[in-house]
Amino acid sequence: MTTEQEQPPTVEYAYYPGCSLHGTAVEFDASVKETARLLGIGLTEIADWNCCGASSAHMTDHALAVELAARNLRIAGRTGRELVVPCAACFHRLKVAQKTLREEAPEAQDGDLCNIPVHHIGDFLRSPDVLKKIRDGVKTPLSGLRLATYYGCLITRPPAVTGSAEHEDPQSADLLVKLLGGKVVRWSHKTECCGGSLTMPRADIVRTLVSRIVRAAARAGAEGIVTMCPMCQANLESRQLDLKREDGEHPVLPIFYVTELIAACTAASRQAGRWKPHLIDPTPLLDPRGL
Amino acid sequence: MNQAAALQQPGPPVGAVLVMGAGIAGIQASLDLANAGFRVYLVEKSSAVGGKMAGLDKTFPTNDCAMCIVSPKLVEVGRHPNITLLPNADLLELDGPMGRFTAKVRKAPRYVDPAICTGCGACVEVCPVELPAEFEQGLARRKAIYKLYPQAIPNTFSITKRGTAPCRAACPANISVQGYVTLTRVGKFDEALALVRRDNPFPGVTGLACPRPCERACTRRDVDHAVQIRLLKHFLFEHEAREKGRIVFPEPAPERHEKVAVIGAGPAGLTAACFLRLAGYRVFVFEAGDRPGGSLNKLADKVVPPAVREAEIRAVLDLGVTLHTGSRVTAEDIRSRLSLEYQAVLLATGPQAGKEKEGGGAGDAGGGSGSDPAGLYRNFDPVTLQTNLGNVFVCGELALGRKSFIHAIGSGKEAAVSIDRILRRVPVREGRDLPVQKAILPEKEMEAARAAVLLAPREKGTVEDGEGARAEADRCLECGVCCECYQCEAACGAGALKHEDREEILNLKVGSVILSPGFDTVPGNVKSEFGYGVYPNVVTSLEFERLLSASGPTSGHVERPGDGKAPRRIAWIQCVGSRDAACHRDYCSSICCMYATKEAVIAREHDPDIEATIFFIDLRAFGKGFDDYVTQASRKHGVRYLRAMVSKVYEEPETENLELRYVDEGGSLRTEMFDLVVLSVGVQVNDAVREQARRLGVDLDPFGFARTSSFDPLATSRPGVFTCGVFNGPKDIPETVSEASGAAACAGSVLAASRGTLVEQAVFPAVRDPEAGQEIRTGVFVCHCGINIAAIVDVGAVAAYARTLPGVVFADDMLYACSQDNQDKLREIIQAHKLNRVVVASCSPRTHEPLFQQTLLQSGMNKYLFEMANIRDQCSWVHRSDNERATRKAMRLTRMAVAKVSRAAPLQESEISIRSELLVVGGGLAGMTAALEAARQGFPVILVEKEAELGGNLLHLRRTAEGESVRPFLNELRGAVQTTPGIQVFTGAVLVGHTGYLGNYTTEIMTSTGDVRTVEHGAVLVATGGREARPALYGLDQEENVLTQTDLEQMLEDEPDSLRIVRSVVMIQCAGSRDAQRPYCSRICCNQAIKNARGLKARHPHVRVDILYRDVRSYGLTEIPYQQARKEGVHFIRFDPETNPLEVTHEEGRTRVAVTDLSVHKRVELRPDLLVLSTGVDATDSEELATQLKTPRNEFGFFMEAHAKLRPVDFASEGLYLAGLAHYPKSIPETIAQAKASVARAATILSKDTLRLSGIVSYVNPEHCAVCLTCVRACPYGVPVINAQHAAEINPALCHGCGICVAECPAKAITLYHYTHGEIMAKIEALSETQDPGDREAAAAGGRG
Repeated sequence: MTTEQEQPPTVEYAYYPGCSLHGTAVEFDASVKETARLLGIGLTEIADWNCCGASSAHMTDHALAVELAARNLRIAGRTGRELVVPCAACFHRLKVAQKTLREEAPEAQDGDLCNIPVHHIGDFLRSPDVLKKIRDGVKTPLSGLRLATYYGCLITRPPAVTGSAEHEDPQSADLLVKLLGGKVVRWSHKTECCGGSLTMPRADIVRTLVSRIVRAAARAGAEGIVTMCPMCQANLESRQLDLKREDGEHPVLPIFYVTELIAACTAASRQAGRWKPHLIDPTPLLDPRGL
Repeated sequence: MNQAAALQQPGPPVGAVLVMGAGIAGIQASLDLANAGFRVYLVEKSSAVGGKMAGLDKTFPTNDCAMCIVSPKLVEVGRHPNITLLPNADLLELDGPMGRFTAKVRKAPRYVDPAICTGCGACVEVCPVELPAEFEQGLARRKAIYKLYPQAIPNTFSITKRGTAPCRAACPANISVQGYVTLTRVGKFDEALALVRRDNPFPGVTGLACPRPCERACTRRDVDHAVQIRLLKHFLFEHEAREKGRIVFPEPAPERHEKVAVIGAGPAGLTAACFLRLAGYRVFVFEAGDRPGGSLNKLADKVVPPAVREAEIRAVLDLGVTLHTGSRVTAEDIRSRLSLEYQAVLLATGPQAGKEKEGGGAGDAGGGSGSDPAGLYRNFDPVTLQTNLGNVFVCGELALGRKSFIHAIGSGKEAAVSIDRILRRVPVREGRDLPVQKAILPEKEMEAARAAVLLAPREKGTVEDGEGARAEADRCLECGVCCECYQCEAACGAGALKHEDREEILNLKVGSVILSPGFDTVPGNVKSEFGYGVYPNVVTSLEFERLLSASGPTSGHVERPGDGKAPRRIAWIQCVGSRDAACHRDYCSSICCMYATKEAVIAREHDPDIEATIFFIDLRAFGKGFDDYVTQASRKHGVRYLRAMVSKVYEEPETENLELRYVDEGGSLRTEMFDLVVLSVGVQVNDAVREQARRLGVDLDPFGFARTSSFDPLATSRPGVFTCGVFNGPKDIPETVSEASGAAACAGSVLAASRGTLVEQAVFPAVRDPEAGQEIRTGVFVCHCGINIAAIVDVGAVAAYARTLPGVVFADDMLYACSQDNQDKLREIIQAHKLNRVVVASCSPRTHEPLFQQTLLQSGMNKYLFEMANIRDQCSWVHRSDNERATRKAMRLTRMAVAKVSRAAPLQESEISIRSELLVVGGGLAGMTAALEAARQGFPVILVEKEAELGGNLLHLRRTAEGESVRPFLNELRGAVQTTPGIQVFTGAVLVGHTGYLGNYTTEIMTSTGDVRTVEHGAVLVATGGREARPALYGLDQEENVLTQTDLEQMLEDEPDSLRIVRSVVMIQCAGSRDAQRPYCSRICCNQAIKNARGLKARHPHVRVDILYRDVRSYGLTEIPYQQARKEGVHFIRFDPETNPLEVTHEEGRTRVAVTDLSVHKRVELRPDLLVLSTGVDATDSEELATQLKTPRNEFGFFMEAHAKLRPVDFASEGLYLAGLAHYPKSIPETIAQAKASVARAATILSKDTLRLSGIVSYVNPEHCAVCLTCVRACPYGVPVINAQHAAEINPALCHGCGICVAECPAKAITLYHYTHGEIMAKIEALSETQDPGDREAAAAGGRG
């Protein structure tokens, strides 16, 4: 499967996948790794990482939640490399931990280790060098595929934690989609909540929120939605099936990870089964484009 | 206190003031100071004065057009002899003590000489560079050469230049690279090539073989790859060859007699020969080899085809350059022969013999060298290339060493410049060795360019055709903004362009400084959830002002920026970037509630289908007439006010309409669709202003506003530096104007000793009035106004026609009648032709009449023997499509002016003497402050107080809203007033008689003993104050536990222990205010309640305080104490007399207050120990005084200022001023500022010994007067009186010359001089003259033929 288009890694980064990418979002993990390989970016998963504390720890024990994330930061810090994180929740927890440690225990011995640069995958891909690599690497463009870019809550907000300058109107995925030859639709729901944290206890609320987002994307003319968060992706995809069951007229849009699209567009050849893990089959959109 | 410091300095202070910032604040302060005898330097960062106000459409609450009311002030400041206007300038540093500052001011280059520019605008047409127009808030575009707005003062253009573009800076020949690239982009290929040839006669050769230093320096390289400049040059050359078939040089200048010898016909020699020949010199080139070209001949034929090279060399020679080939010239030849025969000798012989050998002997190939100048000269200047011999110059490799031929071209050109300068006896080095300021593109623009390239990369390629060239040129990032294409220079008829203009540093000696830098509006994206910058139909309020403005980008049609559709549903969202800690702007911006209301009203006036909704938190209509304005907006204009904070704006993808989500007052989540959303953005201090304040040592608060104190509200932390306007806190225009005058008073009182020392008095020759019966000799001057008039109207024909008119002895047309040289010419013609009447047919008298009248005065003519015909604004500008009829109309307008002026009589301007005393009526805070301020300025003061004790309301108050104690201040103030020698105090006294006029009043005062004293004075200041109302409401003055805020304040400070047992206090706001009886807001009560609540909490933290309010009107920086009060536990509960009324009952000494708390939607019952009423302010009874002074009051007894916006402390009649609560309720600092302001306004009169009155005044013929009183009633200034002879009489000293009485008088008994019945009738008859001007002209032409 590895082919001649791969470039030898020129830069090395530490990689923290988090639990989701080893579970419900394996395709995210796979596409991140494939993207890195194709672009010649070295991503090395940090050793012996643990849960970031996102799902339950931060609701039950503040200190534990910070410490869980801090341990991962320390491991990453020892690699001497900058850390790339695909999962929005992990990214958020790691940033919260850094901020907390900076503010609450500035004198901590291992402060320096914890203060390594932590990049969410979107901002990482957006750096000028990577963008150039992607642009030069596109083999099969999206050919005008209309996509709504969806960022959800945690990638950019709160800006005091993430340091984002464009927390209400983020641009990283927009830029990437355009670079791949896709069209980005203008819509107002880029950073609306998908209800991810209520997915178990209040499915009714989640369905309403997801319906709003998908309807807004469809009205804006999108053929699919691009995410960079495993919770958003799972939530948006799975709830649509329920919504469609309840209301036959309800629009149904495939939900992509941005890295899946990058990998597909920059790969030398079409990869069978790439879109297999998707609950909503995107191939009717992609087949005609040779993706 | 500050004055003491100044007095310790040796000698008197400098009688000049620097005012930083020329918005309405700076303009007002400058005018007041200049009119009071001080020199003013008005420094403004932008290219024109006017500030934010000039960009507004209308102003609240009078709906006046902002431009219409401000432009007279712009004009006045622009031509005031004592105001030096410094636009494009900034105050850098301030050295020295108060009274004798040295202000370091940087004056950025304007690139247009304001003394020469006539403002015609021909340059704008040809400028190829466009950028977003700042004045239009980016909604329209402007050119690099621009005037900020049409009425801008100074009325001249300015160029936006970031510096020298890197490409040009890198070019050894200093070719204007960005210029020709830009001209190529817009398809002006011939002009582009001509631009290259200004510096380089060989674009063909260089287009193929230049080493391209420009491309190496190109900023675009940092984005993708450099603009292919050489390729473009090559294209231009090829294009010319294709289209024209020949090389086009401009015509050489008229032949000059000087001869110049050029030794060597290489690129340097030929370049110099070319430019010297173009300058008109006789040029002789001596070449040792057998053909010209030198090193150009060494270029490989396959790179530069010989045909190109030969054609370009031939073109140079064809200009008339004489070439001698095979002519070897030695040093001896030059010494003995050439330097005598020729006025200048240029050595362009290529490398020196010795060096040539080292270089490998390549020089022989072209035969370009061979002469041996070694030993001829000792040294040369590397900049001018002049040798020690004086008339011998060097260039090319001889001067530079081994360099490329483009360097040689550059040095050839420099040598030519030097030779030309020497021969014309112009300083040879001047302006040539200046450092180059390279233009650097801002990182933001670089990023945008990089992003664009990422998505649409462009490969290097060839340029095949015009389209290709334009596309390649379009890649230029325009680093310099102005591209230096010099098209403006070519278009300017007046010769005003100065592209070589440089920055200047001025060190100004000034006594004091006023900072009035104004504000920025908060960026629209500060609350990004509203989608500003993302959704096209979300605009800021300032953008909306431009959409409303008739002179704006949509000509006043309210259109959506997204699709140009007319919006129906418009929403205003208030407090965007105000009252918001989340974006670090906790303060209230003060103006937004009112401007949003105004915008909604005006929008509906434009289009009655518009539905306007304003989303707000508290409606802060706290100024004079504001509540009424809001009520009108709501009731009459149907503006919907919705008390809700919008949480987010969504865009409907299909329509670009906007969905607003908010929680209504009932607590329900609502969504509502709108077509357009206006963000009511707040105000903030610009970062550069904060930085400037830091440099000047002026303290700022955390939000960037200047720190001041309650009792000295216009003084900054640095002595001698004063402030006004938004820089010391958000405020509206009237307060800004009032503060500006106040700051002028502060600045003036520091310098009072030096008043009049630095001002200029114009001196004119004696006026020779025409004698009765003298022949009328009218001169008519018809102005082209560049192309403004001449392109439409045949000005020559108008002048010819004018010659045929009766009385006209001279008529001519002029390119710009207003330019300096034509003013001189005008004077000469007046003398030569003995003119006794002058007509100028040109632009608007509004801007230019005083200029021409000045010229008449300088020629010894009476200035009233002058008339203007406006054939531009009222003719050429509005009849662009019909030249012939426009010309006929211009003739007709001119004929009317000639007819009128022939009836004009010389008018005398009488002079009245002015007394310097000021009468101040009222001894409260305003009166005492004003008295003291006036005394400091050197004006004697008579202060009359009706009570036995000075102090007014200050006697009852204990603290300011900022918490400062009032008592010590009052004692100090009162002491100062009573001990200052220039102040005569009458307490327990009232006015019993008042007569006189401006500068000469006589007033009778009945003193406390019953004596009547007569005083004479030059001006009157009304400061009669107001008082806290005591309405019979909620048990006030019936129940023991019900008090007013002032009662509480006194208890709190004077007997705090009496409150020890109090557990609960309820305050009711608007008790007797904003109701049918007293419909206005008293402005101060919210802050007084907050102050007292906090004071109570501070002393007795356990006390529960509930403030029942309708809107919390803690405007401006007083929002901060309001927020503090909430944090300290003061409860705020909103009520509404209509929808949520209060219930107050008293039973057996127990008070019960019930209301629905809308924040929890529950009925609450409060049982306070104390019920405190915020009762508002009543005007004091001033009816008698108003009658005596003939000053109008409004229905509530407050005195009425001359104009709500721009004359807030003046009465309509000159010489009368007002301040303090007599005007309207206001806080202590506001009262102090206004009191000082009224002194500054009075000083403009009192500081003069005499006043010259306009000759344009009304006169009543008593024989015809029927004493019907019509004029008495009609006059807005109350001037006409019925005199002892039983006829109306108009005092010329008081008359404003408006002419209303003339129009109203049924007996035609009144005449307005300069507009007499005879003059007007003559004008009308001339209009209706049946003979067509065309016929008459034809007849005249026939007659001449």
